[in-house]
Amino acid sequence: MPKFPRPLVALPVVLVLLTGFLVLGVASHISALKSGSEITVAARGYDPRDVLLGHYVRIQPELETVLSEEQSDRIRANFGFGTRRFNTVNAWVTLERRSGSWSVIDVTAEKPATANTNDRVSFNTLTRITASQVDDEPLTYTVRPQFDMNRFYANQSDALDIERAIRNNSEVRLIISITKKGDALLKGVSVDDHRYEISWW
Amino acid sequence: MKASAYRKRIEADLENWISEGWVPETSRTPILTSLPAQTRGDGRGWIAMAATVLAGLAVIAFIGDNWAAIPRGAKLIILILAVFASGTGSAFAYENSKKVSNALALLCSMIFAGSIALLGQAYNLPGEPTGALLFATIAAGLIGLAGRSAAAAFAALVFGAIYQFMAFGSDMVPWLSTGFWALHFVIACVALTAWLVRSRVLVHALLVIGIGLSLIHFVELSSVVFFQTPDFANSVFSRYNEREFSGLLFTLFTALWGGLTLLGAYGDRNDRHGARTLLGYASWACLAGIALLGIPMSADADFLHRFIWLGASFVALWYGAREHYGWMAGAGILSLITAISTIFVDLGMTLSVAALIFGLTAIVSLVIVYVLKRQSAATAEGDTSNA
Repeated sequence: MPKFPRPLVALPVVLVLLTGFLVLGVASHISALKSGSEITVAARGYDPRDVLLGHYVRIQPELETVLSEEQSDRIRANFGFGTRRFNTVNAWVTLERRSGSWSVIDVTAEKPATANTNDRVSFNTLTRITASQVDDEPLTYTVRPQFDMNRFYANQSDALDIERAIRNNSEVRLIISITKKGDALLKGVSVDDHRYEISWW
Repeated sequence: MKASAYRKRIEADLENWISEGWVPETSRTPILTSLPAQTRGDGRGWIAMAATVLAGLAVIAFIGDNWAAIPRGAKLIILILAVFASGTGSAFAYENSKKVSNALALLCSMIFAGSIALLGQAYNLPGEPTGALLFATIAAGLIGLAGRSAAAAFAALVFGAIYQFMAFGSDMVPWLSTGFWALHFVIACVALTAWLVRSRVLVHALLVIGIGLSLIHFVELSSVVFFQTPDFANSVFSRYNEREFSGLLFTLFTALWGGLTLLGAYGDRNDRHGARTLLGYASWACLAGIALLGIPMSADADFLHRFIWLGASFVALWYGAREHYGWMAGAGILSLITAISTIFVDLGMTLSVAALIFGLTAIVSLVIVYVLKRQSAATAEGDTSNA
């Protein structure tokens, strides 16, 4: 019968590996949040909550931009939408900060060559692109990136504060970190400039 | 046979042998002494195991009540300490109390699974719940193997089954899913644990999982043969009723489990651990495969299939009864009843055809009974002349 390590040796080794992997996952996430380019996007809350999943706020980014005629022509040529009105594509979305708020300036199938700066970022996401009425001239597109984030977990008191702020129509914004790879990660929530941010502690 | 049942049987037999004069009375005590001691136990181990689980639950409930007030970093530290406390506790308890060690390893794998979910929430980690469940499955499998814990290994199988059911919702092509192949690694870990700790429960669980897993593999293989691509969802929901497709699928399934039935019988003759259990499950799966070979079941009823089905049921019943394999005999009886019922409700079959099938099967069975009786008589005659 082949020899196998006794639990006194094997179990601690396995535990170190498993917990190491878990901590590494958290560490790489925190590092991605810290090192990415930060954008803030207006948010709205919605119901219902799932009581089995702990304390969190159901919240969705509200980023929608109506593109110019020239931008719309470029998108139609790039993606070959033809006369289809509703389209959802996996695309690279480029945002630009103009007078404090972020808006979409371009949607491309390939990653843009320019690196992210303080005022311009690109990220990869599913994007809903809706054409204006078919008989409208000129035809323009409305772009809505589908950020893969719809809830923010927080401690009970923080979650309740944020929910109250949403109900009172305070200015609630999602703080999003755009990594170098082009992933959009939820970094926190800002309520009337008070930041609830995810950090080690 | 269990040690206690074996002892009872020997005690009863000894009584008869002594009264018949085949064994001297003086041999009774040495024979009984040579048997393994009748260990009844006082249930301390079970109480210890339940107490350990309760202690763990108490800690979890207390932390849970104050969870919202604990900062993220402290949550991380608490969870890692809890994993290490239960895991190293299990490792230290292993030499002295296997039950306590087993319970602590189970607790460790549960806490680790909970930690993935709780840390995912605390740090808003991206990703799907299925990914977290797969990680918990792999962790429980490794903890079970490293800690030689049947309970943690069993938890890995439960997590794995839940993962596969959840994954079916989002990814219906198992052969193209990394998670599906990762489950095979976990199953290998559990099989190794079952072998190391000689766990009957794990053998049962592995065989149940094995039946389901073989079915998934054969659906994918049949899809590749007929449609040039693995296509589980379409195959299961649209093509299951196509005769060629289901024919290949259930021929492969029946062949595998028929082969394992023979392997189980061979292993049991050679006193291999788990062989009897393998034979029981494999015979059920094999007979189910033979029954399903008849798909579609109505209108197009196939005379040859029904005949083979009845024959296989008789063989299972006969062999199971002869070798005292209760599960196999039970499978034979159920299969026989199902086959007879199916033949009566087959829309495409007249009563005359049904009568022909029953008649032929009855004749073949009676011929087999006659041959067996002749063989048995010849053996008895040979034994008498040798004596």
